[in-house]
Amino acid sequence: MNDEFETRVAAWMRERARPDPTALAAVRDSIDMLPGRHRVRRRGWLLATAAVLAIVAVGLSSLVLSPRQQGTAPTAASHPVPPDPAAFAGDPRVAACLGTTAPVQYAFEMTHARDYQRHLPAMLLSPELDVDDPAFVVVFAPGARIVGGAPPPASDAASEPANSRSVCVLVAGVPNLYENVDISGMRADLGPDAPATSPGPSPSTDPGLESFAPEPTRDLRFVPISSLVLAADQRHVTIDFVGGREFSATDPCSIEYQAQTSVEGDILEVGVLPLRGPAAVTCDAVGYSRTLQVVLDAPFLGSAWRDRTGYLHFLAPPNGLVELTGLPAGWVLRKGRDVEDSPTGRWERTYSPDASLADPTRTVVMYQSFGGPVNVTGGDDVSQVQVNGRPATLYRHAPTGELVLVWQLGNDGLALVAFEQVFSVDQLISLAKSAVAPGG
Amino acid sequence: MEVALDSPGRPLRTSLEPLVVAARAGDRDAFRALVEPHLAVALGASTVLTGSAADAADAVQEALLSAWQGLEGLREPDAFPAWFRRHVIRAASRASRARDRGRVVELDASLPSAADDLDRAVESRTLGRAFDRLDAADRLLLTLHHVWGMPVAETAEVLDVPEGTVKSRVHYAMQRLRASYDAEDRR
Repeated sequence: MNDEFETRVAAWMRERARPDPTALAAVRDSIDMLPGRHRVRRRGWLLATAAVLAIVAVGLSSLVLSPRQQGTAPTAASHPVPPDPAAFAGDPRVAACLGTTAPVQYAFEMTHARDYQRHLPAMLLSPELDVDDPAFVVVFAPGARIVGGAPPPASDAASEPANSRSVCVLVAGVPNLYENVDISGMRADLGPDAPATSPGPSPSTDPGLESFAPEPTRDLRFVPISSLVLAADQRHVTIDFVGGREFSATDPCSIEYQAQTSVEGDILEVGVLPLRGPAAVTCDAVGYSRTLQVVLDAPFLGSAWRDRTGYLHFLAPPNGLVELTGLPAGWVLRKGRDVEDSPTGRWERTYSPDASLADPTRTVVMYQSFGGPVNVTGGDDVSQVQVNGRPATLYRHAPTGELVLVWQLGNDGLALVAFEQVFSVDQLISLAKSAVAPGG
Repeated sequence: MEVALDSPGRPLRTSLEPLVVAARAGDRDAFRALVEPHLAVALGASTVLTGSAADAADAVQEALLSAWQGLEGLREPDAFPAWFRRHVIRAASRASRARDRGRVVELDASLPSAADDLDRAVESRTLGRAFDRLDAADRLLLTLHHVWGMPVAETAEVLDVPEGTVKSRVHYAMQRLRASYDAEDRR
């Protein structure tokens, strides 16, 4: 190889790799927009945003199933079991996967999202799907675009590999969108002989949580709200969310949003809707931090607000918090906060002997949901235990010593997170047993 | 942050474990401290791969999300930098392949300023076109090698190839780039 040429290439690449300051700032800012850690299950984030933007971009139309491709295996797929997507026509999961805007070729269910590479063995690693939740897969017809909305030019579609498709994997009501997925070897039905993938608890192994109703289907007309702040005057509301670019009449990919508010009893209902834009259908699906300010007609005196995508949030410690009576001496409540993405609301409390909370191993974090699933999990080492004679699930993460205990008290879901450097399993279970409902 | 003496007479080695433990507990500032040293090069490498600052930002954001949500999968905390790089590479490679499918691509970011020497500007433009004509695998390999300065062992692991073939692949990728460059130069 010509060393001089390689030197020039290296210099050119370093020059081209000089990061754009605006993009770098946007990336840094995006850390603040990250959802809570997946231990507490929450919505998708950028991908959900992409879905919303894509919906906005292409507009809603009626479900289009491609008759030519129904029940037809892809050319090179080995033993696919492509169920007739007509079987899912009208299924809200298809609509949630943008199936109302692009022709669907296949649709099938997965018992666990983490099985995606068993169903789609050529699909690249997608860590966001490594969860136990059931999932629904929509494979779009060749050439269909789900992010950005516009179909490719005919010449591009013709040059695509025969098995390349846009795919949506719906998990917990959230569409995860992928383009250029190789569906070679796709299997809709794994059959009884299929080997198991990574071990992990399925929702059905957590009998303490079975009695809860499933989470609501998200209303896709609304944009998920990242945070809401009610000012001290109880009238000025600041709403942050991820959406399209700031609206400009000259920018066909910009979007203007509108916030809708109403008060229902003790709850402030808030929804963010796109008002104008985008005018083009080839916009990218990059999310931008957006903010809306709303002034309420009268001061809001309640203590909770509901995102019209279906999730309840608390502005202050809610009523009905259980009390931990068995904490070691010196361990006190240090902080409490709302935890997003629960249809019935969740509250987090952190206890520690240290005011600084600098050492997470010297903390106990308690999650409480109110008549809904607490949706907290932990490490891969899972066992069933008993708390007050009721089944509970214990998760252990050996590398960090993190212990997570999930159980139910009355109608509420509870979870304790502690570290075995400080608490043994027995001590953690005893602590859980010491939880007392108000008035109990 | 915990600081450990690696061995007498050797530089101090800073353990990432406390930051990883804190990030796993949901501490965004700890996560920010973990990723901050790598963001600029991650964005730069992604820009090279995708040819678009917007796509690169999108890829790095996707990598941040998957790393943040996948921290349980990091078995060795001090391996965080390499582990995070893999998240970035995966996301940027996806975007890069998407580019090959005809997505909107921005023009070469290294457009000449008025002060640039004309020859250098022309060569930069030609190199950009030549690089963009390579397939995604070659672009990735050259980016890992020249932008990230990734060690051969890690490159081999990322590409799932034997260490011994990495250098030859870089060589052949560079040959193809040279051929592509010559073709562009003749146009």
